[in-house]
Amino acid sequence: MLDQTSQWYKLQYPECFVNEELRMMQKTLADFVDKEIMPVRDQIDDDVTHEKIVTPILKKLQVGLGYQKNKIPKDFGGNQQLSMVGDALMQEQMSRADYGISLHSACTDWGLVPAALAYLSPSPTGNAWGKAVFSEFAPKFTGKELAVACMNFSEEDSACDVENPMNEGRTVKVRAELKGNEWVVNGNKLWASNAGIADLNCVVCNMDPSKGIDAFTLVYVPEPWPGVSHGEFEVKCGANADRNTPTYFDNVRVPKEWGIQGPEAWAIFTNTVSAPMSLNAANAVGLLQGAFDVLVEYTGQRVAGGKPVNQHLHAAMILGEMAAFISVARAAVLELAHQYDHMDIYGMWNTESMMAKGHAVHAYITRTVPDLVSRGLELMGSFGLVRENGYEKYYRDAVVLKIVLGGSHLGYFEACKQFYDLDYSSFGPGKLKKPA
Amino acid sequence: MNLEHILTDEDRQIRETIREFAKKEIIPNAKKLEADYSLVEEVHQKLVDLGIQALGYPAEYGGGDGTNTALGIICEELAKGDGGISLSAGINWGIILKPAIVVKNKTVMDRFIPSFCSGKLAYACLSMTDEAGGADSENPLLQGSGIKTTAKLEGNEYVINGSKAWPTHSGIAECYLTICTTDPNAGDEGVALIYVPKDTPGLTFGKPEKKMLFKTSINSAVYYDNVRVPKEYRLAGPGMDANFYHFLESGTGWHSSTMALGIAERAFEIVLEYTGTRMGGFKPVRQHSMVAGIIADMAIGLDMMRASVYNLSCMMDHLDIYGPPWSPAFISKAAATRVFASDMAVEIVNKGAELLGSLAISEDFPYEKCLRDAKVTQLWLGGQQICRYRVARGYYDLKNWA
Repeated sequence: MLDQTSQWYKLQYPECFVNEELRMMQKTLADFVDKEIMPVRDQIDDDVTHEKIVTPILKKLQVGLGYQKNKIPKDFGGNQQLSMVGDALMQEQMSRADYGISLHSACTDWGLVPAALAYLSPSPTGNAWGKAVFSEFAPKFTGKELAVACMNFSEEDSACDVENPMNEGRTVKVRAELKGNEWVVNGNKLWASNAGIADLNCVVCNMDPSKGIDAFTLVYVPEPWPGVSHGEFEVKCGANADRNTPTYFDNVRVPKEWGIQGPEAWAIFTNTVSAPMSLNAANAVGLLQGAFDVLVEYTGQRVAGGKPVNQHLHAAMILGEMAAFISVARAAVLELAHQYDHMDIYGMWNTESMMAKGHAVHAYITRTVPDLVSRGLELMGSFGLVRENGYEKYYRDAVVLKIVLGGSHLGYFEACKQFYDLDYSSFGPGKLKKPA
Repeated sequence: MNLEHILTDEDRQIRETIREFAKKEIIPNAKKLEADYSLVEEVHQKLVDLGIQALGYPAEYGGGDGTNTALGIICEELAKGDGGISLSAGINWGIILKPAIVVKNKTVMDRFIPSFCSGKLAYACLSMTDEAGGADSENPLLQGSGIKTTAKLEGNEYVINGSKAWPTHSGIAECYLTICTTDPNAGDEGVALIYVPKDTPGLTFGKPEKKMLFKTSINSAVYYDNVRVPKEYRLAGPGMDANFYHFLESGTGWHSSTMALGIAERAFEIVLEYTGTRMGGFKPVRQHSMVAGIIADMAIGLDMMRASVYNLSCMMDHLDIYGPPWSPAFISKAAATRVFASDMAVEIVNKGAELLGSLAISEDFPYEKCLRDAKVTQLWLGGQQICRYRVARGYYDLKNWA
């Protein structure tokens, strides 16, 4: 249980980042996680259809606690929960029990973020787009049934090239055409979280890749909808409460009010792909905390060499290393989220320096956590491999968290970009030709 | 763009001042400074003239009531130029006398603080590690039984006997905060922190250690042979002295982290500049993606260190919220910063060396100093492994690491 009165808590979640309102939100979710997810976390991966465990939890979380309307503006009956620190705290708590469930919740937020950013911006064009999207779809998310959104952008051939800002949308292969009063979308997407179960997709397209940003387009496509279909759900080693599948768009027609195009769409997109850096890093902290909690309990009860395992110095050293990283990583995540929340000081999320900072924190934490979870497994021996003992799940999930969001290598390049003019675009000498 | 939510305008001004000072007074003379301590003293006197030494002391003594955040900035920026100078500046700034200031031991404050606010260079010394037992004296789980240096109350004086290894500024300091025990069997109740003035009869010193790093700071053994000091020079008394001893472990670990950060930043600056002008494969080497990956690793590590170091300094400035600083939770938090920053600094410097080739180890190039200096941050104050035990102790009842 999260004891918010303890000195440990104050040192881990300092007041300069976490205010009273966010503490209350965090406590509500922490209690939910301990009551609803922790007792069944070792059964989640066996719930193949999601009917028995996953979906009931998601209904309680997303509908009961109202999380699925967090990114819906208040004007449309939503929570308009815009604090990135708040989101980081929530993601951390969910991942403490199950990374897949946190991904599901976060990706519904993510799919709605472009419209929310646009609606709340001072731009008339963006405002009109956000208004059209939320007027049509907000009721679904503010209602009493589970609703799911999807930020659908990775593609078969180019994967993280889509989110590489240096490519300026030139590698995007899904085409959007404006025909009369409709957008017509054609092409395939791959791997998006919540794909196949989403009620609403934000689809990243380009009208003409040779024009780059000027032709870049975001189009909201609901489901079910004529022309939209999917492949099989991917079978993954971890994070199985999160669904992934290809999405196929075959002459999909939606009203033109549901799309936005040009530099403004590009700015919304680059802000949107920068936003999750602190959140997936928070997922990593939560995952490591969950694994650490299992280890402290296990090694305190398991006796070897005449004393509890955690009294052996080698074990204490590994536990200390994990705890040290949790402390340091949590501080970095909260600082980053705080910076996202203060654009007046630190700049927009898509500025070079904020992208660099976000990727730096994200890449390092998500790359280190799997190593530490792996080291921790050494303390449990073969018992750590058994599902009921609660640890192996963290090991599997940790692999997933380090490869999402373009993986860490794109992050490294972003981190360099703020210091010098590194060219890591897909185009140039020895690389792809620019789209004709 | 980092830390703007923590820093005040005064902090930013201090950062600019010390950054320029290091560029002008230290970096161009780094080799000479390592070879001639009289030059180091000239640098320190210039820092005194800038008001840095007095900054950490109470205003009523002519000091600046400086914050830990300000000290962190000073030590980070100085460490870019020279780790040893940064170490000395931090110690003289007030770390050693801070416990007396917090408990308001007026006798100690009146006796020693004026020296540090006089406008002249003055050194302080934390005389902690016993020659026999090493890190046992720093093990809180031994509750003072690992401390070998004894203090016996005779009348109105404490009589101190024993020896210490490695204290910085031994032989040149104005005062020596000496970690003693009045009774090794009394647990933490027996821990005594006693300020010993220089020139006290019975206080002698060994030869300065010859080190491969931090050559601009002086370490030697300290010997106590029936050293007598007024009983009022004891910090606070049984119990509270032990608390402050544990607090010092947190504070000095944080101080170490600020230096680790500065040294690693300097390494990054050198690597970034070199790889931008050095050509390989017909382009600057930093345009190769593999090199970019290493540069990014260095930058990422620095971001993580900064967040951790200044998060902790902010907490140390607000002990009303985050204290007490001697609790297992606080010590664990501080130790986490120390162990992470030290390992990361060494990793950053080593990674950067790969991009410089043999130039990294040349004494005609500034990088080899970073390679040397970073290492000590893993070794002192009990070392990294004991530090990890301190972290673990914040989470369960780790009984002993002796």
